Amino acid sequence: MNYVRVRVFATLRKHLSGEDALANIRIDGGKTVGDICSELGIPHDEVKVVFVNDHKAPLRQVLQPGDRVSIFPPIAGG
Amino acid sequence: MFVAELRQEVCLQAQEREGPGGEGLTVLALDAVRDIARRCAVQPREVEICALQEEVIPLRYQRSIGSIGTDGQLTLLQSTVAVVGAGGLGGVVCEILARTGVGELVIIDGDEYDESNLNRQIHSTEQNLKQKKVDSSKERAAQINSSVSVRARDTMLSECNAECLLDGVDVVVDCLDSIPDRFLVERACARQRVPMVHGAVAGMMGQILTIYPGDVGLRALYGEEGNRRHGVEISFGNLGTVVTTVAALQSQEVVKIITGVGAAVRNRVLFLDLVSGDVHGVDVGN
Repeated sequence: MNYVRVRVFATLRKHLSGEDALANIRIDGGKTVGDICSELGIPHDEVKVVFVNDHKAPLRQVLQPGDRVSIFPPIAGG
Repeated sequence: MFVAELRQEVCLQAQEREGPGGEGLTVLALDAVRDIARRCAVQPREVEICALQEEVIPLRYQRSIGSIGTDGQLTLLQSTVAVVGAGGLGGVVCEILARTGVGELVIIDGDEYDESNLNRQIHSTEQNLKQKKVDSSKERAAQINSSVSVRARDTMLSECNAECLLDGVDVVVDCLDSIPDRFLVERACARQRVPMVHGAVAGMMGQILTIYPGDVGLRALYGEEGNRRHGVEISFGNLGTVVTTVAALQSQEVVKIITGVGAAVRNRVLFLDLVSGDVHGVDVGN
């Protein structure tokens, strides 16, 4: 099946149900990281860093089945 | 003549000890370091440097030598580290680096303590509210290790003063709390050709990244600079547990960079999710 595994962090957790902030999302027809964010209801301006399979990726990156997507907001406290 | 005299004093006052693994060690106690410094009219740090050059281990560093060796300890004592920001992250970094025996600390912060700092800023107490953070950190470093000299700079780093404040330092530790200021430090480090150890926190999240001049650096974490000042720490706050964890990892980066032991977390950011206990190392290379 054409799924990617999405994990979100910090403030973005509120966009996923469940304790583990993980979701398996179906990708048919060349979905991008930005499409996934929209599907989850995450405003693009809240997304600062995205990693696909542990590599930094832009919102326009097209996802492949089995990709692991991690989405982070900016953190800057000291 | 002077060096010979110092060396002779070190060898005279050195003691043979059995190490934790039963091995023989030649060590120099703190009282002896102080006595030699007084007799030879030098700083305690010079005594410790001389001792290490003679393979005599100042007792206070005995438990560090197994990991970084006498050469590593010697290099630390001969190094200068700038800690930019003396709040949550910076206070802990100063505390650890003083214990580790970094020879000189340049601590830069123009702020003073208030009550909201008490949950995480390790040098803040109920007694020193309203006092300058750099003064408290300097005082604390002197209590911990008299071989560490501290230049306390009661000012905020700016484009105008960065070159002067960071002159001669070997590593800079970014312990600030605003994104534009972090970029300012990154630019100053690039100009000075020195590595910078970035750390940031928000709630139960933290991140560290070591940045050398020419690396993609902060752009990988915040995008192009200037579009916002703060991250989600504004709503999540800063927890003492997370701040201390991230500051310890930043300090470890400094030790690795200076001693050459291990590899810095470079072009790869470590994200700490301390809600779940997961650490994610992800590539942010050029």
